[in-house]
Parts: sequence; structure tokens; C-alpha cells
Amino acid sequence: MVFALIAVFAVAGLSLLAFGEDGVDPGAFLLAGLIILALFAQYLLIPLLFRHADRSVPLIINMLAVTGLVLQYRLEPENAFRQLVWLAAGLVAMVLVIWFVSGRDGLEAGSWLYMGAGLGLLGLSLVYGTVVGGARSWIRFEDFSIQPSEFAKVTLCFALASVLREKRRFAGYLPLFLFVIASVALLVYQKDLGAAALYYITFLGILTVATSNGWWTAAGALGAAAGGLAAYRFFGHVRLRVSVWLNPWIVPDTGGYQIIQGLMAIASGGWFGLGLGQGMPGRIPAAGNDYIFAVICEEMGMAAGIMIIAFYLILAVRGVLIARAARDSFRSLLAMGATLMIAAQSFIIIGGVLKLIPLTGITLPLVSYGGSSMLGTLMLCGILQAVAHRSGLERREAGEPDADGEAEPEDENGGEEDDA
Amino acid sequence: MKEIRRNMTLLLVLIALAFAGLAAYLVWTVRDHGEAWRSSAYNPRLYRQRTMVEAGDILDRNGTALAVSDGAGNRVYPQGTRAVCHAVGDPWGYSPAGAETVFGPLLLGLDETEGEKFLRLLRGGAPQGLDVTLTVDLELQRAATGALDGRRGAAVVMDYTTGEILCMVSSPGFDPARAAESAGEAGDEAAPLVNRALQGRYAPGSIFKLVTAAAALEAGWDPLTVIACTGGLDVAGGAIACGGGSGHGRIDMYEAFARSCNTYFGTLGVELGAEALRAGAERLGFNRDFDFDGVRLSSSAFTLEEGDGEGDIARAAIGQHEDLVTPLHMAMLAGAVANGGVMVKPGLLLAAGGRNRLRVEAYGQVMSPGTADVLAEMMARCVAGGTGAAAALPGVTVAGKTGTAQVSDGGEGESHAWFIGYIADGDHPLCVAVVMERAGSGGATAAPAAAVILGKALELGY
Repeated sequence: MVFALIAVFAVAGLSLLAFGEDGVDPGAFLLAGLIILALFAQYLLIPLLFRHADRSVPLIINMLAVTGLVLQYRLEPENAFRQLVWLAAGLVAMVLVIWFVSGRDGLEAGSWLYMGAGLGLLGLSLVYGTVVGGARSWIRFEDFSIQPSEFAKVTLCFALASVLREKRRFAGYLPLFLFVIASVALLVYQKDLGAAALYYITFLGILTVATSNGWWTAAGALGAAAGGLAAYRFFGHVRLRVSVWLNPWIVPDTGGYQIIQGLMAIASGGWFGLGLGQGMPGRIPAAGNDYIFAVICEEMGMAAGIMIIAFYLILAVRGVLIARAARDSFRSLLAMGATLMIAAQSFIIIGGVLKLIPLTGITLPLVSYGGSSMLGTLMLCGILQAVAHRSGLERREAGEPDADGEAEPEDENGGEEDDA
Repeated sequence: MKEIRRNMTLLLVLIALAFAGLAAYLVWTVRDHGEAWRSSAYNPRLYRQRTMVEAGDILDRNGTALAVSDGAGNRVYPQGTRAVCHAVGDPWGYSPAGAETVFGPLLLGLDETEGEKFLRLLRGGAPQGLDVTLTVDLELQRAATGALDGRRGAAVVMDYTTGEILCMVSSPGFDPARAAESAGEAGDEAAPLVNRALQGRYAPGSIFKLVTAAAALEAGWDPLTVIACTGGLDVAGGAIACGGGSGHGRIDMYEAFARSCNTYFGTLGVELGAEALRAGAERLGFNRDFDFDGVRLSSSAFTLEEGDGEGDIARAAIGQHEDLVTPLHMAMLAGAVANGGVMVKPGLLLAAGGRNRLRVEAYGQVMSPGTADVLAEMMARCVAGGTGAAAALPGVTVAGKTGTAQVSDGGEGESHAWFIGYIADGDHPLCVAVVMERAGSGGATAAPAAAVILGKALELGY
């Protein structure tokens, strides 16, 4: 039902773009057809392959991804088709992750492997990286580039879950702490500040959830504050970010240009937007990537912007319910890590675009143009689906009533008393 | 596991609060700043709108067209340019305080509500640019431009009961149709694109004695208190000269104000202290941004702090030290004295699309009516027989204060000349501020210029 609505949205949006001033554009209809095909394939395949996978996670994924595709087509039609290929590849990757993570046992023992792989991925761009948008976080191939830090997010979730799944003394956690510090340092060195903040927030969140140790959390937060201050003192680009955030209007043509263009786009849209194709998002640097939220607000209005925020919230709610329903702490923390990662990433970039927090260049998950980001995020979604599917299978084996995708915790203390 | 699940729920609550905060911030920030962002001179959408929509005309208060569209997407300025260029602005926002920019959304028909927009889309058709009527009078603008006599500076005339700005002139001017050519280099002192009436922050000199007097009266100072002036005040950081050698002798505050005695007001400032002076100045609108009709008036500055030396206090009390004021704010201050202590909000937008847009609002009672009465008496005496004599007009009572502000890089004749004042007659509720850069003494240049401008305003029937 909702899949059909998403298809209607895609067709309506792309039709609007097709009948432009320069006659009918057949490309838009082709894209609409392909989107419907992709939706249909998922609708049939995922429940067939993974009976217990969550039903609303794919809905959110598709709503966000299709919004992204329509906007990419509006901005740069060629990118939309490329993005669709990445979406398809990402969906395949998601299915593989679901299959691998839900079916395989013993994944919790690979903490060294995960940490090593994570550092390896980040180190890769240090060695082979090229600088894009000020950050040395891309590796360029013949005609496309990948951003290893997007995939390192997945390994970070695995590393966190595999180490934090059982209570240890400080020394037991030390390798993880060092791994996180090294990762964040690498990202800061590559000037990928958004990713650095994202990694650290996810780490601190999962550490707190797993250990309930307020002291460690406080120490971690203090450490971040100290690190932030040090970065502010020693790195010119960090100081620039902060001063531009505090007052972009004194440097409207240089440092503040992007922020100002974004704010003006949002303000010009009003509640219901200028209409798809009616705005001037082309003036915003990185309109299709980091600044896609401003484009949404300009052309579809603040109402659509708030809906996008709501989609991420729903995804977070589903993610936490899946994590709560998991029967072992490894998978529970794994799902929680993936959830927190996506939620924090969308908060950081939307907050940056709105000038609520300093702007850092990261993508709006599933909506922004970018293959690595799409693949990485869909792999994180795959983790959620895998944990949901696994919980369902285990519940069935134990002879408990089938929750049919409802990820309510069924254990002895599964009340919701904390929700208030 | 139980603990982990509880923590997860708590974290979810945190995430939900963060996202709710994000959505709320989006709505709040657009509601608070959206209008300014949208009408920003940097918004490329406004320029595109100009190519799609015939921008409305800008008219003066009598309906004379100041800016019109020629049907081919260009703006034409039929009344010549110099006298109204800063009030009107330019189509590109080089002079961003002008009506073309500030009222851009009105002129381009972007001011419609979501409901109006929906109805228009149903009917079909482009947005309609609105004609914008300003409060200024072209004739008076021309008279004021002439009165400034080619010097850099600014002149403002405001109705002190309604806040309507009848005249707002800044010199030098520019040609709005070729504003880019006037952009000049940063640091260029002529700065023709700057509207000095709103954004010029000048040392006030002796007009600041009005502020010191108000602060003293509010603190209970008896205006009949006599202080002896022996021709100067010896304070740390260099003596303050006064009255040309021999001094004013033993005088009360009325006399001291009329003859602009530095000794009296310097002493008074020290008596009051830094804190009371600053509190008094801030009550009159110092250190505060004024926004009206989307126009921003730069803040006047009074920086004295507790613990500053007597020399600084004395100098600040007579309008030196670091005091800075804007011409429009000074007109508002003079108007507040005339208006029984009530400072009104200025207005530049009279009507849009034929509908009245003038909202008469007060910033509040900035001084007690009793204080205003005493200040009015002092200002009247200043014009009747003091330094402001050249501002007098036949048939009405003009009250005011002159100022001669030394410019820090000073020298002979290197002072800004000030006059602020008003007509003490309810039938002609006009207040005025004139500043002329490097024009010498306020009494000799700014006061007669103010007389010319106010005389013209009376002639025009205000």
C-alpha cells in the first residue's frame, strides 16, 4: 500500500519535471519506470527471503531514496540514473548483509578483525586519497570515487558491538578506546570533521548504553570537549568553520557563501515551497549532496523538511525497537549502533544546514547524491533488518508466538515503563 | 540485557527530543529571520524574480514616482537621483538599506501569504508586484540635500508623534542605475552607498549633553544647581577646554546647556558616575539595534564601564571618549523630548499596494514627562539665546542643541557639526537631526542648515 504511494510520488514528481518549458522529457518517465521496478522488486523479494525482516524500515528507505532520486533528477538528470544504480547496488548489498548477519554465528568474536578493517579503510584514503571539498577522504578510480569512511561506519558498528557486548574492566575496553581515538584522529587529519563527530557520538552513545557507566561517558564527553578545543586552537580550518557558523553574513561571498545560500533557499521556500523545479537550488554549493535538505525546503517547503526529519525519527524508533527485541547483546548493540549512526548523521547535517551547529560536510543519509554513502547507509539498514530477522527466527524456534514483524520485546522484563 | 534495553529506550527519547528540537528550530529560525534572509541583497531569487515580475513602483508620500519599471525589466529613476538615492536604494542591493532591497519582496509580489499564493495558483498568473509608498517627501529631500551644501553628512526629519520619516538624506549620493560604479574601494571615506542617516556612527560632541542632562535629571539632579566654570576642567588624560579662556562663571544647568558648558557637564558626569551615565544612555536607546519596517538602524554606542577613570567619564559626558551616535537615533531622541518623553518607532513604509502600512508604535517612555519638560526648556533656551540661535524660525519655537565633535585625527576646521532639535508646536510635530562632516562648529553650519530644512517642511505644510 505505502509502496504504491511512494510510486505515485515518484511518478507525480518526475512528471512535473518532465513537462518543463522545453517540451516533454522522456528521461523522467524512464527514471519513474525504473524506480517502480526497483520498488516492486523489493516489495516482492525481501519478505520472501527474510520472513521476519522489519516491514517499515524498507518503507522509510524508499521514501527517502525516492525523494532523493526525484531531487537529483531535478538538479542533474544524469546523476539520478547514476544514483539509481547505486541504490540498486546498495539494495543488493543490503540483502547480502541481512543474509550474512542473520545466518552466521560467531560474528561477535571478530573484534580485532573489525577494528583492523576499520583502521585499514580509513588509512586507505590517507595513502591513496584525493582531496574533494577540502577533505582527503576520497579514493578516485577511473570514472568514479569511493569514500572508505562510509564503509568504515559499518565496521565501527561491528567493533563496538563485539567489544561492548560483555562487561569488562577498563583494560578490556582499552583496545577499543584506542581504536576509536585513532579513527577520529585520522578523520580529523583528513579534515573530515563531520565523520569524526559522527564516529565519536556513535561510540559514546553505544558505550553508555552498554556499560551504564556515567563516569566513562562524562570522561568521554570531556575528552571530546578538550579535543574540540585543541582542534580549534591548532587547526585554521576548524576556526574558520566556527567563525563562519557564528556569523556567515560578514563573509557572504567566501566562507559564508554556502550557509547563506542555504538559509536564503530555505527562507524562500516558506511552508509549502516554491514548487519542484521552481526554485534556484543550483546556486547552493553541493546542492545535491550535503545541502539537499535546503533544496527540499526551498522547493517542497518546510512542511516537507519536517516530514524528512520525521522519517529519520521513525527509522530511529524502529531501529531501537529492533535492538531491544534482539536476544543477545551483540546483535542488540549492533542494531543500536546502526540506528544511532544514521540518526546522528542526519541530525549533524540538517543542524549544520540550519546553522544550529557548525556545518560539516557529510551526506543526508539515503537522500544525498553519493554512491559510497548510499551503499554504507543501506548496509547499516541491512544490519537492522538482519537483527530483526534473526530475532524472529529465534523466537519461532523457541516456540513463542510469531510477532510478525512487530519487534516488541518478549522477555521477562519487556515492559515499556521507561518510555515516559 | 535489561539495563541495556532501558538505556536504549532512554537514548531513543534523547534522539526523539533532538529531532523534535531540529524541526522546532527550523520553524523558529525561519519565522524569526526568514524575512530578512529572503529579502537579503545576496538572494539570487530576487534578481530572477525581477526578470519575471514587473516590480512595483516606489513613490514618495505625495505619489511622486521615485522608481518605476520600464516594461523591459529595467528600473528607471525619473526624479533624478541624489536627493532620494539612499531612501530608494538600487536594484542590485549595493546600497542595501534602500527600499529597493528592504521592500524587495513587496515590490516583487513575494509578500503573499500561503493562502493568497494558493488562490493565485488556482487562478493562474504571475505574482503581482506592489507599488510601495515611502513616508519621505521628495521636495523636502531636495531642500535637505541643498542645505547640506555639498558636504558629507546626513539630515533626518521625523514626525515625532507618528514616527513618519519625512526626510532622510545622506551625502554624498550615488546614481541608483549605476550603483556598481559607486561601490569604490573598502575604506573609502566618501562611501557614497552608505546611508549615513541609518548607518553613520558619528562622535556626537555636545549634543550628547542632552543624554547626560536626562540621566542627571532622572537621578534627581536639581537643574538650578550652580557650578562655577573657570574655563576648563582639569582631569586625568588632559584638561578639557571650555568657553574660550575665561569660562562661563557660576551658571546653572539651563545656562550651561544653552551655552554648551563643558565644565558643567563634565563635572556632572563625574558626579553621576559611569554606571548611572550608561544606564541613562541605554534607557534612551544606546547600545541597542533598532529595526523598523525591516530597516536596520545601527546602534549608538556608549561604552563607559564601572571603574573607568574620571577623565574618561568627563569626556564621555560631553560626547567625546568613545561615544558614537547615528543621525536617525538623535532625531528620535530630540523627538522624545518634544513628545513628553515617549520615543516613537520610526516608519519608512507608508503604504503598499494602496493599503496603509504605517503602524504608529512607541518604543516607550524613555524619560519621565517632568524630565522631558526641563530638557525642553533647556533646548528652547539654547536656540532662543544660546549656541543654536541660527536654527530659530519666525512664527514657531525651535528648540535644540548644537554639537561640534572633534574628529580624532583632528586639526583646524576638522570637526563634525551637529544640530538636533524640534519644533515645539503640536501642529507641526517635527524633529530634526543634521550632521555635516568636517564642517566646523555646529552653531555656525548645522544649525542654519536645520533652519532651512525645518523652514521648508513648514512651507510644505507639515
